[in-house]
Amino acid sequence: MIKEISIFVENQKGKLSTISKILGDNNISIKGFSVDDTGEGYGIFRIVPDYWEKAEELLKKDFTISVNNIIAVKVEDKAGSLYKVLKILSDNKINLEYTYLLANSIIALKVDNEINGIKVLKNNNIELIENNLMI
Amino acid sequence: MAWDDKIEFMSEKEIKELQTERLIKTVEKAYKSLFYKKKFDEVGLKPSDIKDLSDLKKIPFTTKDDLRAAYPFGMLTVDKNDIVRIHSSSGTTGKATVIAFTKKDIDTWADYVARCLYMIGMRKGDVFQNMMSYGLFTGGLGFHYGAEKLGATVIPIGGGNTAKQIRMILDFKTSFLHITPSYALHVSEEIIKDGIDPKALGLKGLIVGAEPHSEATRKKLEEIYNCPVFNSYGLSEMNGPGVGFECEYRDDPHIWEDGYIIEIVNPETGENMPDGEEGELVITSINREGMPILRYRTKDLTHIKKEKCKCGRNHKKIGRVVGRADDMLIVKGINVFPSQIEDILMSIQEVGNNYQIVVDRKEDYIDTIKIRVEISKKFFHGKLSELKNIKEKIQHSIREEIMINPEIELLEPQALPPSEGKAKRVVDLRKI
Repeated sequence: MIKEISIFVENQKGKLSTISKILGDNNISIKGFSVDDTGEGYGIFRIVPDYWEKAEELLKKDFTISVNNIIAVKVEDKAGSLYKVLKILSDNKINLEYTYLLANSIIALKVDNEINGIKVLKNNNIELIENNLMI
Repeated sequence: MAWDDKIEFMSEKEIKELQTERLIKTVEKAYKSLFYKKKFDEVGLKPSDIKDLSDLKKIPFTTKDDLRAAYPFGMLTVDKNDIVRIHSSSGTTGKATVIAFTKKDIDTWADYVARCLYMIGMRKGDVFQNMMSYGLFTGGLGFHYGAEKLGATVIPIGGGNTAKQIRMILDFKTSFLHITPSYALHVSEEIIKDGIDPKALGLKGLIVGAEPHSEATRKKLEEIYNCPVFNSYGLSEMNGPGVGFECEYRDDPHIWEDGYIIEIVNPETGENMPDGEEGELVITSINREGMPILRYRTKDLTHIKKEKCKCGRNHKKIGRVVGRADDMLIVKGINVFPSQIEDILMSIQEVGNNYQIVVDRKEDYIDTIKIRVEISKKFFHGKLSELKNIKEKIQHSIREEIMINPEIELLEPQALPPSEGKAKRVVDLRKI
């Protein structure tokens, strides 16, 4: 399972750069990220680091964070490949909460039911990434 | 010619005699309540010990906390069945204070308000638009009954809905408005936007109250509306409005001493202070039946004016209230205690330890209240919907309590400086 770290951020200058600097200084590579902005003064910065446990350790003291499971799948770099993945999920009534791009043509998927999500994607021969270091 | 020539133009001596007589009766009556019996017995005071005004200081003070403790009916001096109306003033959650009125009290109160309104020139035939909120707040109904008693035509529109307010002023040729000063400024801008000069409305007077404002603001309003603006003084513990009012000279309110005995005390020691010195206003109601209150600590900081008024009334005047001896805020004319907000925040588990209350006044003169809260780390699970729910929960609970819709700002833990005492948790950016 892939681990994603969500960080609560107020929309204040320098927050994202501070976080990325901490991780960079500690040789942790961010394999992908997204920013959910509410437009109301706060938002969530999500990152998928290679060494997530170390990243969690570094961030938890000064930030409000939460570590969650997500699914990561490799998609081919061609037309229709994203649709293929999303259709499998919707055909199986699995809700997608959000998605974003990771490195190396891999996409992160946050679904309401991870176990079923993984199962149906595997059954349909989608290539799943096992852990953060394999991204 | 006044509403009540005899009372309004009494000599100082006559006022003192009437006060003495009414104080003695009030004390006897008050002793019938559970609350005052206990209070008197505790210090070994008997109603018969109060023989004249100089004995007043023997009576222990009554505080807002006393009123809360006596909630709901511990202070009644009459049978509960004789109470015809209840008003309640803002208090900390579940600890509101109750003010009870008999039929006679309602009538007396209306008479005081009518006296005030007559003094500023309101007559039968005038149209009075009451733009204060009705309900438990005494400002709405208090003025309503007073203006009706006087014989004016009352428009009980209440607060808000500016477009409708303006239409009513125009359609009914309103002559007097009862309004908060900040809302009066806001309404004037809207009137101008409609292409109307507020001066052309033909208003005879504005009654402003419920909210502190400067002399500069009064002058500004008088200029904008081209009519006199009168300050009103009142508090629900003493009926509500009608405790004091400015006369035609508009130089601070006369307190109606036939109904209220006023004292100024040192807010720290409780010792009486001479006229002219700034301290906390203490009021004893001597013309109430159902629930008289003796030596009530108003927390309003002011002074009793020494000079006589040119209008000829000997009822003493108090200076403009310069502040509060507690941390009560007045937002949009509504009394808000920071502890009300704190109680709510602390009952919401997702809220962290620190918070800040920011009160501001926008360019359109509308007050805003923003609550900045730190969220608790353990309730963050990385979902935006969750944050939105927390925010709505806080907003809803606070609105229910203080009747004002606050803006909520969610912050990270430790975003706010750790609080050292309540004062730092409130930031008031308004320029009055």
